[in-house]
Amino acid sequence: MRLAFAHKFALGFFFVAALSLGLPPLLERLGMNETLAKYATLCVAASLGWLLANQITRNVRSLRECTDRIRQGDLSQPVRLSGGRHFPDETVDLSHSIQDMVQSLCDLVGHIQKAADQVKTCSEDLSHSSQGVKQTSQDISETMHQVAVGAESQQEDVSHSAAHVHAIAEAIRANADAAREAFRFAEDTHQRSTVGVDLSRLTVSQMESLFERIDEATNQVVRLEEKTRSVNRIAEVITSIAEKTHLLSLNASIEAARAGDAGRGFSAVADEIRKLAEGAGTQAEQIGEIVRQLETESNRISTLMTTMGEEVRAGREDLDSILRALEQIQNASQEVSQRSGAIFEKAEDTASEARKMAEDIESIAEVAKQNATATDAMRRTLGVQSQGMDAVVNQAVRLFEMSVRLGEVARRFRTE
Amino acid sequence: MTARERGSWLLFRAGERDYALRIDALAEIVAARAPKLIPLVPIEVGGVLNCRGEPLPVVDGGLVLEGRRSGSTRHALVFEREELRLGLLVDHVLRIDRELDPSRLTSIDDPVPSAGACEAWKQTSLGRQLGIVNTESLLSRATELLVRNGEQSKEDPCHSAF
Repeated sequence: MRLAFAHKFALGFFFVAALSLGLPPLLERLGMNETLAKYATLCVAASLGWLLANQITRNVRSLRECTDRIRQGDLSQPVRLSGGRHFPDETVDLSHSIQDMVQSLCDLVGHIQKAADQVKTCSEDLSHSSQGVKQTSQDISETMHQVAVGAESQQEDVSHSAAHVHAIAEAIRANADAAREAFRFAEDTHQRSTVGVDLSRLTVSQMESLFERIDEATNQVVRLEEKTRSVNRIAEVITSIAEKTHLLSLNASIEAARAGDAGRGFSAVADEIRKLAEGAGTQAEQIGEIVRQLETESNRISTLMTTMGEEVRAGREDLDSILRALEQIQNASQEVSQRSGAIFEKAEDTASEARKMAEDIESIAEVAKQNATATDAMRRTLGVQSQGMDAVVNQAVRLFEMSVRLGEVARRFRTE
Repeated sequence: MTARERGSWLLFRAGERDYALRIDALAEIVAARAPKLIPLVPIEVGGVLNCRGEPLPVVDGGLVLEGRRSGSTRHALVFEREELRLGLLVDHVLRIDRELDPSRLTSIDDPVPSAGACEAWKQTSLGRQLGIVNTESLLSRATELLVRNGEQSKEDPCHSAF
């Protein structure tokens, strides 16, 4: 039968009160004085009250002991009540509740211990992982630093390459301009060579006419020379005749002298003959002199004409050579013009390709610059991440320490 | 000099000087073509000319008059003495001077050792040296030259024409 705690106290109080009221008269009846009876009643009432209270509060003490054990962390002992089996009261309920609480607390502590262990393990793992991640982050940061350095170097190299490619593009453009000028010059040269060839052909034609006239003049000079020699021979004959006549006159004078007086007339004739011979001889000498001069002049002219003829022939050969050379130059200039045109076109294409390549190189340089910047930013981010990982590691260490402490706290509760 | 001596003189040049020879001492004057060689007789001495088909021995006038061979000779003065017919090669005959009077010309010393071929040396009005030739001395000397060379060749069957 359930009897509430308050009822138990009320009954006990009633019983003690009843005893206190009824016992003194009883004791007085028994011959105890009033005061002694009161004191005895008081003692009995007190003792009975203490017993009743003790009985009533026995469970409370058990519960207190239990809670003390619980406070001390001993959850292994069940909640046992020393009394109240026959008249259960709230203490029994309380014991049940405390038992449930202990059970729940045991479960909780168990869970906490497990959780603490798990947290410890996880914190250890987290610490290790954080350490690993930190190390990895450091490695990545170092690698990113190297990549950043390499990217910067690459960016510089690409920038230099872009500058070189720009220079090459400029040079190619200049070459294209030079090729254009060369093409125009080749065209002009070809036209001029064509004009030169035409003029040379005209000159050759005129030279051939001149050669013919020179040859004719040379032949005329040769004929004149022959006639001059003929005249010279005649003059020599005349001179010889004059000389012989002079000798004849001398001999006539000699004969006239040998003849003495009879030869005087003959001597006069001889003198006249001598004078005639001298005159003829003088004229013949003059003729001879003139002829010699003519011969000298004609020889000179003939030599000059011969030299001119040879020079003209050589000049003609040279002119033919020049004409052939001009024709070759014309052909070569035409070919050069064609090739220059092709080169010019190719140079233009190459210059265009070079410009595109320069632009591509610049784009690559820009990308490299961006990569370098991004790499540097990533490196800084990794640095920040590393710092964050340091914090994580520190937090993991703290968590580990907390889990250890939690485990220690949980282990203060004995569940078994 | 007598009127006969003032007669016609033949002026000729031999070597480097002019000479005068009495015209009546000459037989004729012929053109001096290249003389033919006489065996064993040096060409400097003379040779043989073909004078109208007849051989005419000739002697170098410069060698006879000056002791030195003449340059190129154009005329030969032909002398005749009895059976001797001899030619004297001279550079060329200048003229016949009918007015020459050697006695009026200035005498000068013998510039060359003419070995007596010139009887006198005069200076003309133009300042030229003129040798007055002694015909006999001239022929004598010429003959001597030829004979001397002829004697040298007597041992040789091919001896001179003299």
